[in-house]
Formats: sequence, structure tokens, C-alpha cells
Amino acid sequence: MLDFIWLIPAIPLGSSLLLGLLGWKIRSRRVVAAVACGAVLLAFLLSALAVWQLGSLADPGGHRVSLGEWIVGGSVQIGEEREAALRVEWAFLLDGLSGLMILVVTGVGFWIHLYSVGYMWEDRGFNRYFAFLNLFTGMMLILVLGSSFPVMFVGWEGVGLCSYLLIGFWYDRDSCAQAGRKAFLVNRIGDAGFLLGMAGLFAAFGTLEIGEIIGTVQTGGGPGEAWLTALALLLFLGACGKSAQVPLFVWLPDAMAGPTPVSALIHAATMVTAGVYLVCRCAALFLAAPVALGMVAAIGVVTLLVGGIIALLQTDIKKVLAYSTVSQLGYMFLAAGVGAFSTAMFHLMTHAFFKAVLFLGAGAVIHAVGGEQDLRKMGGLYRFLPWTGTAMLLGALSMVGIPGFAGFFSKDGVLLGAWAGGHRGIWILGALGAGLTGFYIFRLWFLVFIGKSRLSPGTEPHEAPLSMRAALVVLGVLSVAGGWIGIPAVLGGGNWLGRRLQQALPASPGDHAVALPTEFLLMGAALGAGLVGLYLARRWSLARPSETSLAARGGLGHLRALVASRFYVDELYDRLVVKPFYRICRWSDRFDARVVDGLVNGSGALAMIGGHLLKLFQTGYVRNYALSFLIGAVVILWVVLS
Amino acid sequence: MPMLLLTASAIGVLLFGTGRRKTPMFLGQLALFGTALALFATLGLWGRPGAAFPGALVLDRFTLLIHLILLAACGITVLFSFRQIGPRHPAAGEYYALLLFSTVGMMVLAGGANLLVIFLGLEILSISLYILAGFFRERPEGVEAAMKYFLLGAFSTCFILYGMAFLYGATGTLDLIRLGRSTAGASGGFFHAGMGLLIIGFSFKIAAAPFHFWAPDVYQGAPTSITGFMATATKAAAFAGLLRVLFVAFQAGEVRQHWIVIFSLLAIATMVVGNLVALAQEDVKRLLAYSSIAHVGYLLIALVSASDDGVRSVVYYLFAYTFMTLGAFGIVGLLARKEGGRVQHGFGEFAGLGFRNPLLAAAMSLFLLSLTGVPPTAGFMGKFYVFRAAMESDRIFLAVLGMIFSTISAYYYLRIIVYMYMREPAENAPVVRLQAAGTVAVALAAAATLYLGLFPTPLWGLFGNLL
Repeated sequence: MLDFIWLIPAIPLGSSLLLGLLGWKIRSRRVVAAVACGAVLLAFLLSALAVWQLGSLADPGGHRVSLGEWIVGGSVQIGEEREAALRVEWAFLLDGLSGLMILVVTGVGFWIHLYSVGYMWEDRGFNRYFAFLNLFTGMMLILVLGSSFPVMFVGWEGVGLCSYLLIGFWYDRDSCAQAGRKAFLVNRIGDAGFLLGMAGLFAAFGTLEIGEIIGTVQTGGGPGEAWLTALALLLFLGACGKSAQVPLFVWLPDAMAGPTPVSALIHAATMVTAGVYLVCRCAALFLAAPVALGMVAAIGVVTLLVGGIIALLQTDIKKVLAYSTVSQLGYMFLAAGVGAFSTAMFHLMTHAFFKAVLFLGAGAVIHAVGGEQDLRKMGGLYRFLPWTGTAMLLGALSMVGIPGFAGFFSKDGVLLGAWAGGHRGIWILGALGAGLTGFYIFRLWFLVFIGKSRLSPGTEPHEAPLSMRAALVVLGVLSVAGGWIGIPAVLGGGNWLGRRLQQALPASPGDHAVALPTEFLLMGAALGAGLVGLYLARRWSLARPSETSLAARGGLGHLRALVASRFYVDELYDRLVVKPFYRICRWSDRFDARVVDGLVNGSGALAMIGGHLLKLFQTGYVRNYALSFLIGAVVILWVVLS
Repeated sequence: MPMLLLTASAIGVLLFGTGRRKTPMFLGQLALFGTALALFATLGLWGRPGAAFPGALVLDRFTLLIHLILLAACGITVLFSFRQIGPRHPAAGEYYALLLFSTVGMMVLAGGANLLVIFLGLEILSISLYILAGFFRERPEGVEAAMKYFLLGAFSTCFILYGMAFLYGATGTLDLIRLGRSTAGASGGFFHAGMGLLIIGFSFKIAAAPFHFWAPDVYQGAPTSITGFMATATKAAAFAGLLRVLFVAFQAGEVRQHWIVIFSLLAIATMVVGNLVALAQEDVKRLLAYSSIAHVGYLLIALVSASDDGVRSVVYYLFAYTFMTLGAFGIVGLLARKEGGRVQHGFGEFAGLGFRNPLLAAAMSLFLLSLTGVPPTAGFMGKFYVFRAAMESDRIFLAVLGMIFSTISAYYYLRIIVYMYMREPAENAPVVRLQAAGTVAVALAAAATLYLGLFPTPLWGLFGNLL
């Protein structure tokens, strides 16, 4: 199987092509659904098989499969004396890191596909939706399996495109189209960083094969530290765009305009984690550039706090989850930034489980109450939606980090990594973030499921159809049990995942053992913060459900307004970037319309006049033609004879 | 051998046409069959250079390549003619026979090793075409076209004959190779005058400005399928003859400089006239006539590169030009509409074609884009090779001028596309119905246009050291 890993992305891509080109001929939605889900399921089974076989492989570096050459360029001078030719292959690499990713992408992806069948059943764009969703899955798999930066970039741009297409899925709604555009444009900023980084890497290393670059860095080769820092920061800029980190996080909340399963798959579980994956893939590069690594940690911490604080006061159920995603991605970058790369990947995985279930649950809720997304107009839904409510409760508990749940192990690992790496300040901020998490997620849960019903009269909530419920149950279970493969030794676990990733990722300082009592103390503190948040959420949201909690008085009121309006980040960008940019556009438009077009139209008019003048010679009389013939003949003979 | 086959089938067509009342359809199929046979015979000769009637006809790779162009053009023209001739035209036999005869003449011209043979080919093709141009006797514009073509053609023939006489007088031979050998010594006025007169005659045949005035009138008046044939095959043959004369007989130092100067001037004049006047046209058929003049200008640029690459790019360009021009004229012919006794080829016929017949419109767009020189079409590669040859021979000014005029040409080509896709069709616009033959012809031309644009290297590779 290992030689056929290219099939894993190829299958969803093929299915997407089929549905996209011939989908309109398939009348039956059942067939479309079966093809789309079947392709992802097949990809998942193949992934599982491949990863299982990988375990018995002697070479810890993973397995690389090349399908042939893709880009072959001329040779370029690298540095003083070396020359290198650009040579990129269509090559895929399966190791512990990409293995984990393909399992998450296809595993979570399959259940979300299944869920979508129920969710999108009534939509007239059913075929198009699944064509896009399959395309996304294929592109994401190319991204994670790509063995060189250009191949990875194909997937990187591919998922960006799919994200755009799916955010703007209901293209006839203005807000969706706008949100799609915003996501695309903000991502372009990051992509520019990625592209520049790629160019720089080639200039510095003479290759774009990730493995070779990492190898050179690990043996102390490559350019100086300043150069490496610049390259790492450029790549990190790309990661920030894709993974919605400060300052490029503004697109993610708007992206919630797309269908909810899309939010779950693309904007929570998989695509947005591509940035984390990128940083982990290039871990050695970042380790060799401590400044860049510190930057990653700093951005991560800032993002987790900003996201968490904004999430406190959002009233739209999906927006809460969106900011929560931003915040959780911050945790992953924090982990990577303190060098605990395998923990970052672990949190990525558990987050994929619990955030997917939360989003899918939110989708079921929205479905049930007829499209309402305002938390203040819900309440008391547990009676009607027991399955959904329970699944979401599991997801929420996991996210807060209640012991035994998946999120506990990974989040604890992140914080422990920070402490062990000697970053006490980061640990404190991270624990504070845990408190925020506890508050915002349980505020959401209580407002939706507990208390008196505040639904607009006439709505009759109903439980989701079977396909949606199945996905909720499975992902709910995973958000409990999914963490058990990474239980640290101190709690009696084997940390199977950590060992698997060890081969693909460099050893991190976070793996230093911390004294046992300290470790338990730290766990307890973080857990306590989460529980305090949970408790406060219960008190406030149940007491005054229709308000947005937190007392509004005096200075606190201003603060509250600031938070509720998301720190005015969007407005700031609008004022600082978008408006001036438009102004430049208008100027150049005017320049174009008057000066450039004037020149162009002028020369066009000149040519036209010339044409009309010359046309006059075409009199239609043979005698005139013969005359011109004669003149020409005289000229030619003159040239020849002179 | 291919020529004999073609002649035989022409005579066959003629006999069948007069003897019993065969349908025009059958005669057309017969002509097509003959063309196909000749095509295969030509392919069979590939790689076996030789000569027929030693000293008269050369059958080298150059000749064979030109023969391929000519036969392809002839075949596609026959296909387009099925509709033009209609099911019960009384003189269909003559039509197809003349078409085949003129093709034979062109093949003779392309392979001529001797000025007299070249003249023979030129006359066979011209006389056949004089008749074909006025084939629809009931149309006044057809008769006018034939008359003008004949008068001016006779005029130009005089020049060619005079030139040959001068050359014979100066050197005592009509054989191209011997002429070439004696070029070095011959610096007399007779020799130069002879060359000049010959060049004038050929310039008329390829419709280079200022000897082009007949072309728009004749092209417009002639039946559209014949127009396409004249614009492509005649030019290919005349260019072949011209190339051979220039590169074999007049290749030596000073003489070479002379014709380079002359054709540079002609190239500029031709591009200016062809492109600018095309801008001002309101009739698509006439527009394409001017466009074909403009393309002669580009071909002349390749010619004055006076290098091996120049010859290569002329041949490549002729391939590309033949298919895209035939296709475009063919579609114009398919869309033509009779109104008030005159056949209309206005822009109006194209309005909304993109919705009335999307495939036909797509093919037309392909031809027009190719004529403009947009990748990935044959026209782009053709222009690319031509301009590259010019640049390599340090004719940068000409190359730049050629590119500027290609840009200008985009206006009138794209205008047709605009009509096809952005204008509502007229209320009474007829439904466009295609017969099988027309469809096949369009498809063949389109396929060739795309193929030459996408995979230029195999063909280009065949063209090394042709002359």
C-alpha cells in the first residue's frame, strides 16, 4: 500500500471531478451522497492501512513515493560556489506526522461528509456542494502528503480555493460572497509570505524538498541564523494567514457564513490547522532560528487570549465557536513555539474531534430551530435535542479539559510543555486562557440547552436526521476517547502518539520531565481555571440569559463594549488598509481612464483613420489598380537597377 | 505521381460530369477521393528525394511539404464546396475538375526546377482560377471579379514572361541552379531587370501591396469556398515558387541584397495596407480578404530573414495560415445568406452565433484567435517562428513592426467574436444547419489549427535545411 499513497488524495479528487462535471446528470441525491462519502471512506481506509504498514517500516524517516518530475528548471548559482538546478517531483511523503494528518482529515472528513448529507439535503446546490467538499478533501491530503514545498503549496492553494468556494457557497447572498472574498484576500497575504519563503529556501538550500532542507539544517549546514530566521518568519506568515492568527485572524469569524459542516471541516478541524502542520513540518528550521520560534510562541499566546476574550461576549452561536477556534489554534502555536511540536500535533488532533462535534452540534441546533443563530433566542433545547445536547456537552467538557476527556491530555501537554521549557509567563497566560475557554463554551451550552425557552413562538425544534446524529455520536465519543492515545507516562499512559511522532519531529525541550508533584499541581491549576470559568458561566448565563452577561457599569461597561465589538479590529483594518487601498485604486483608475486609455484609444483612432484613408484607394476601377501596379513596378526596378 | 493521380481524377470528374447526369455530390466525392489518393502518394514519396522529368520538377522535402499543404487545402475546399455548389448545379463537374486542375498547376509551380516549368504551373493554376472566380455567372459581382482577376493577371503575366526573357538573354539558361551559378558573374542590367520583373509578377500573385488591389475585389466576388482556396493554396504555391527562385537562383551576394531590400519595403507596405484597411471593413468576407493580405506581410518578414530559419518559418506559417484561413472562410461561406439578389457576409450574420450554434462559434473563435496569434493556436507559433527568424537575422525593426500590426489586427478579428457572443441575433436569423461535409471540414481545420499550436516541435523539426 505504501507505494500507492498517491491514491489517497487521488480518490476524492477523482470523485470531485466526477461530481463536478457529470453531477448534473445524476438525478438521484442518494447516488451523489454515496459517491462523495464513499470516496472519503475509501481514502480513510487506505490511509489507515498505509499508516498501519508504516509502523512495520524499518526506516523512521517515513516513506516517499515519487510519481515523476513536475518542474525542471535551469541551474542557479547558490551562494558562492554551489550551483543547483530547480527540480521538483510529484512526490508524497508518509511519515508519522503526515500519517496523523491524513487520518484526521479523512476520518473526521468522512463523518462530516455523512453529516452533510442530512444537512444539505434540501439545498439545490447539493451536487456542487459535494464536488467542492471532495475537492477540498483531496487538496488537503495533497497538502499534508506533499514531500516538497511546491507540492504542498498546490494543496495549500487548493484548500484556500475550496474554502473560498464553500464560504461563498450561497453566492446569491451578499454577505456570503463578501465573506468568501475577505477570506481569500486575507489568505493571500499569508500566501505571499509562503511563496517568498519558498523562493528564499531555494536560494539558500538549492532544493525545495522538505526532507533535504531539514537534513541540511540539522547537520548545521545552510545559511546563517539571520537568513534562517527571515525564512522561518516568512513561512510563519503563511501559517498565520491560513491558521487565522493575530493579526490575520479576521477572516475566520466571517467565514462562518458558509454551511455549518463546512465550518466544522474546513474552518475548525482541518484546513485552519494547516499552518500548525507547516510549522511542525519545518520544526528543525524553527529550532535553528530561536527568534522565529519565540515569535511563534508570542503570536500563539496573544491569539489565544484575543480569541478567547472576544468569544466571551459573542451572541451568534457560530461566531463563539469561530473565535474559540482562533483561540485553540493559538494554543497549538504556543506549543510549537515552546518547542513541544508533538504536543501541538496532539492538540490539533483532539481539537479536530471536539471542535467538529461542537460545530456539527451547532449546525443541528440551527437546523432544529429554523435557521436562528442568536444565542439569546434559544434556551431549554435539551428536552428536544437530547442527542445533540449530549454530544455537545462531551465536546465542551473535552475542550475545557476535564480529566479523562481528550482535550485534557492535549491541553495539559501544551501547558506542561511551556512550563518545562522554562516559560513560566506563558504558562500563566495559557492557564488564564483555559479559564476563558471554560466560560465561553459553557455560556454557549447553557444558553442553548438549559433554562427557559426563548424561541420565537411557532418554532418547533426537532432532532436531526439519522445521518447527522450518527456523525455527532461518533465524533462525541472521539472527543472523549481520542486523547487516550496520548496519555503521558505520569498518568500511567504510554503516550503512543508522542512516540510515533518522535520519529518525524525533533526532540523538544518540553519533553524534559518535570518533577511529579509540580506536574500534578500544574494540572490542577489549569483545571481549576477551567472550572472557575465554567461556574461563572453557569451563574451568569442562567441568571440573565437574554443579556450578554457581565455587568455593564462604568469603566467595565466600556470594556464590555470594546470586547463585544471585537476590539474594533475589523474597523481598524478597514480604516488603515482597505480604505487607503481603495483610494489608491481610484487614483490609478482615473490615471488609467484618462491617460492610458486616452493614449490607447488615440492610437486606435489614428489607425482607424489611416484605414479609412487607404480604403479610398480601393476605387474598384481596374485602371487605377493597374496604375498602382505600375508605380510599384517602377520603384522595384529602380531599386534593382540603381 | 500524385500530380498524375490528381489530373486523372480531374479528367474523371469531367467525364462523369458530362457523360451521364451524375449528382454533384458524387462528383465531389470523386474529387475528394482523388485528392486523398494524391495525398497518400505524396506521403509515400517522403524520404525518397528525387526528380521527375530531370531538370523540370524537383521532388525534395520542400516540394512535398508544399504539396501536402496544397492537397489539404484542396480537400477541405472540396468539402466546403458541397454546400456551395448545391444539389443540382448543372456545371458541378467543371467546378471540381477546375479545382483539381488548378491544384495540379500549383503543385507544378511548387516543384518547378526551371523557370519555364514554373511559368507553366502558374498559368495552369491562374487560368483555372479565372474561371472559378466567376463560376456563378448569374451573380454580377462574380463576373466582375473574374474580369478584374483576368485583366490584372494577364498584366502580371507579361511582367513574369518579360523577366524570364531578360534572364534568358543575360545568362542563356532557364534552369534555376544554372541561373544561380551564373548569378555571381552576372551584374548586367538585363539580369537585374529580369529579376525585378519576376519579383513584380510574383508579388502580384501573392497579393503584396501595392500589387494587391485585385485581391479584395476578387476575393469578395468569388464563391466563398474558392476564395478560401485562392487565399491559401495559391499563396502557398506562389510562395513556394518565389522561395525556390530566390534561394536557388538569386542567392548570391549583391543580388540577394537587392531582393531583401525590395521585400522589406513590400512587407511594410503590405502589413500597413492589409491591417489598416481591414479595420475599416463592414463585410466579413472582405475583411478576411484584407486579413490575408496582412498575413502576406508577415510571411514576407520571414522571407527577408533570408536564412534557413526564415524558410522554415515560412513553411510553418503557410501550414498554420492555410488551416486557419480556410476554416474562417469556410464558416463565412456556411453562414452566407442571400438577400435581394446579393449574398450577404455582413457582421450581422455572426450576431449571436455563440448561442445559435455554439460549436460553430467556438470553431470560428479558434480560427480568429489563431489569425490574431493567440496561444495555443497555430497562428501564435507561426508568428513566433517568423518573428524569431527575423530577430536572429537582425531585422528587428521588421519584427517589431510585425508585432505592432498583429496587435492592431486583434481589433478586427475580435470584433467578429464580439458579434458572435455579445450581440443578440437578428429577429429573422435563420437556423444554421450544417451538413456532414461542412462539419468535417471545419473540424479538420480546427484540429489542425490546435495541433500545430499545441505541438509545434515535431513538424518544425522536419523543416531543417529545406532549400
